[in-house]
Amino acid sequence: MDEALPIADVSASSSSEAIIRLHRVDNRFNTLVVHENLDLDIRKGEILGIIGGSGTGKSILLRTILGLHHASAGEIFVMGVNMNTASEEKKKRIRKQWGVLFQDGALFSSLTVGENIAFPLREFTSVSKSMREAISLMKLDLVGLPLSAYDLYPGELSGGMKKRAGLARALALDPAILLLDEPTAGLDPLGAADFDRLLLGLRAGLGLTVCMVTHDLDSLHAVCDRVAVLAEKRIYAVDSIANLLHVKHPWIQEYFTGPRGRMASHARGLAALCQWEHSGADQR
Amino acid sequence: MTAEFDFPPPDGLFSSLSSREDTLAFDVIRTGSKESFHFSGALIVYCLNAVEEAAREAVRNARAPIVINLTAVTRLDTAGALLVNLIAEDAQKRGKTCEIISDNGSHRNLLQASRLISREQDAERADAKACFFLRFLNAVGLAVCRQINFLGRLIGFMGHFLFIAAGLLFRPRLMRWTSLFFHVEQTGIRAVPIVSLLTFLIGMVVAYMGAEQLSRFAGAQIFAVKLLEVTILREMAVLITAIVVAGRSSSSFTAQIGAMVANGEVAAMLSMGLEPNTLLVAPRVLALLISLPMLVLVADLSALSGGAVAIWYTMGMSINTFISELHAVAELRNFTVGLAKTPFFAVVIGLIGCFQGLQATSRAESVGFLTTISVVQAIFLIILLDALFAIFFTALGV
Repeated sequence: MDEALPIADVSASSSSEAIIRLHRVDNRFNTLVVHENLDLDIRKGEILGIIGGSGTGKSILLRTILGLHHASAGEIFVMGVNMNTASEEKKKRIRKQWGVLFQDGALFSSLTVGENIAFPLREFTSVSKSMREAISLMKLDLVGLPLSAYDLYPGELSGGMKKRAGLARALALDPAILLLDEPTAGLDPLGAADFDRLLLGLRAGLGLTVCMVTHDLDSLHAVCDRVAVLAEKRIYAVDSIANLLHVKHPWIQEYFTGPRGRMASHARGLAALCQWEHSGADQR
Repeated sequence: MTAEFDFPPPDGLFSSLSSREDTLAFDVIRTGSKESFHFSGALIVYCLNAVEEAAREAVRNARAPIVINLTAVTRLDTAGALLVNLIAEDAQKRGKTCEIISDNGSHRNLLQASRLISREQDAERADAKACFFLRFLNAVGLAVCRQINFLGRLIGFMGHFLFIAAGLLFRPRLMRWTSLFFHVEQTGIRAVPIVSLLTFLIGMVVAYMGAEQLSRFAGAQIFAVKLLEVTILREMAVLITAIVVAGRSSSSFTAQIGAMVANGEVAAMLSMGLEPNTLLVAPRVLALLISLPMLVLVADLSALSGGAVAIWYTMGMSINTFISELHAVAELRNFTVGLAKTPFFAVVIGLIGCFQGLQATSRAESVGFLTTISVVQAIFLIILLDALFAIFFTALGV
């Protein structure tokens, strides 16, 4: 997978570390073919970004992984379990292993933020009430929400706070996999940068595997180990951004070397430079 | 085919799945001058309940410096780490020294990351301690104020609507005709089947009951027709129709407008300098003003035919005789009294539906609540108005 060529068969690559694997997945809606023969491996411990133009089916892909949308054909393995054939019991256990952040947080609107975070704990574990509260307060703090948000209802939160609260709920059971749908969309640049740092911190601290659908170039540069490009009805390429730059596909070229792509990579270069100078100054 | 894609689980991945098989044990071992809290197994959120109580108990009973030993812990998550930190803090609060031993670097990181967040009790809890009588008074006062406030705002809304409607009379160009006719179809034509079915049945019941009671008096059965005519034309047809329309249209107005408010569409309208009262409220209320009298006419006809069927069935009176009998006893004023009430009912249904819709907030469940409220209030006001009309018309002698 090192060479940045379009990948014909992902299953040939090292499979031992794939925590989620999609194998020859098709998605069709009547005559509209969204995905055809789509292969994707998500490796343990990585942060994978999924990008693609509008209408290439990024959200459908995420929903397919989650089992909210049933693929027309193909197989999906999560932690080695085939989600098409596994028993309902087994699938339930898999579902406890992932946390999902939907685009607008998808918080339960009749529960406060605190109750939202405690919800999975109440449903799936038997920890005491005081412990539940302690855990949800910890998660609230972890995602960088103020204590005052604990008793608020989702309707009273701003968009960015909703996302953070949704993330806290997704993290409530310490999942192994975190699936994010456009986590930084609608956040201001500072908030988005905070979110990026938060993700990196979580990955380092909890050993999470993260798969995120995103449009945010800064975010891609800042956190993603690999980026999967959805084009021509499949994962056209999946690699680090540096390697993707050499892929000869008009959309990918335009995406990364267009005005905004250049700016984002430039910003990253600048940041790295600043950091380097900073650390150099420290050493001196 | 499946053998070809055989996909062995990666090492260590599958083990993390087995939440049921994980076990966690907690022991207190006293060694010399120290008490060692020994956790072994998976200290994860699914297993915590097994040891939480025991651990807290152990802290309370501890007499010597505490050592929390995590060397036998196979898995640790943030919830487990939090419990360890909670125990440590609890011990320190009780003035005992506490030390955590772990030989795993990532476990130590987790322990550091899982912070205790304490939060002071909020003021509301203190409030709850106020005496019952005061809280009761408070609740009653709040409810009364809310109702008065609601009534005031509703009257204000009605005034605004009447102002807009009067304006539309003089400048019909501003009327949204497409919207108006769409709502006439929705609230009127589409309600015809349910309204005619229900009133047909009501007509049957009224005629049947009347004939049954009147059959005790010889020759009085003929008055069943008169009874049917008065009950149906004056009260029943219009009341049933208004209630059905309140259930159908008031709720749908609230839901439509509420969804638009929640979606920011009304705000968009206002920002363009457009008036939701003209665009949304006027077509709906005016549509009801057109369709409700027509529905009542349909209801009158179908209720009378229901009555005719029942009278034919119980008394053997033929349909022709029924019609001539009806001609003889019917009075126009009963029909006009019934019809005269419909514009008031139409305005009540339309205004309540639209008013409640405009009260929506961005909270998703608010529209649901408001829909229920709008139907209940509309039906309540219809019946109240009907009672007032009954007194009014009796006083007038019509």
